[in-house]
Amino acid sequence: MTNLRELAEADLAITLEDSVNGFGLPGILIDPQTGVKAHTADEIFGQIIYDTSGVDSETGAPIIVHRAVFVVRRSSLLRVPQPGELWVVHMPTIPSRTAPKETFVCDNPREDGGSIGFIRLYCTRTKQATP
Amino acid sequence: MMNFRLVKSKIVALLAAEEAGRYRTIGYQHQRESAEENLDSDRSVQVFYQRGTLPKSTGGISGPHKHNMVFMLELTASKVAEGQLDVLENPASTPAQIIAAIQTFQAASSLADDSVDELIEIVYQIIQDARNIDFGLELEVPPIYVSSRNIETITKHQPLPKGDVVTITAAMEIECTMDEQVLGETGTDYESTDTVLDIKGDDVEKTGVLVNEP
Repeated sequence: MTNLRELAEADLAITLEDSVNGFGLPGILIDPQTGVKAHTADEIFGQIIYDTSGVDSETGAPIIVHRAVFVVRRSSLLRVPQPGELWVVHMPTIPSRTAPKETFVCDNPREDGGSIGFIRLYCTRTKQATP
Repeated sequence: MMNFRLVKSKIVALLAAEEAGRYRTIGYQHQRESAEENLDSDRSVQVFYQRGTLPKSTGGISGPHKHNMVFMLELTASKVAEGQLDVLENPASTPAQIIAAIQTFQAASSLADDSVDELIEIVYQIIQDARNIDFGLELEVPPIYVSSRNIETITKHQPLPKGDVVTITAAMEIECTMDEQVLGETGTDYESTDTVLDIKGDDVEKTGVLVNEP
């Protein structure tokens, strides 16, 4: 017997991580403490959302912000990202499992899916620094 | 053309001439830009006439009217995080190299903040340069002069939160004063009236003033 929250968390294996019947797209998370992947499998599957609505902080007007958000199941991670840590995220920005992965960084994980068991990683684009 | 339009075109021309690859000048009030659009050109300056006051004066109905005009410069800078991407994307990188690369990454919001500060400095120095006191209008024939040119306010806005490209904007208000002439739009035909003052008994046109002649 499981309760409904346990059932909802278990459902993430389908809704979030299943790349055939669910929203799963492959990404790679690099733990800044170890410099290696924060998941046991070669890739971690989760939901990648690229366009979401936001609010202009000056005017309060609704705007579309290109937020790259990677939603992953907490229980699939070896360690959960903490605020202030800079995690490296390799993920596609188009809805294709075979698309090339772009490199993002994330220093702003949000625990707002904690009650169900997922975490949202808000990512920033990167570019090569010039010496 | 009214002088406020002339001044705006001169501010745009002045900023465009001084770009030197440091920013992009947009001579009109642009629709809200997407962060990616601005990222390609890094920084932009939008110039537009924002408001003016034309206080009623003794100039009467025909002018000239003093025009206290305010131009808005909107400065925009967009940045992404910068670091040793080649290390992060190289499968042969060791964990120690990756940790070191992560530690040297510069946050996009910090880079964007520095970038817009630098843009404020550049634009301020161009506009307030004593050689640009009349925005080049003194070279017109006949020369036109601008009064009380000054940057009155600079406002920096909060970065847009959580976008994958961090954008910070700032606004700069330039005030100046010029006279505006009422030139007429289409012109209206009218009959002229010639008034002759004819005072009886004043045959030498002394306009009614009695003068004791010798």
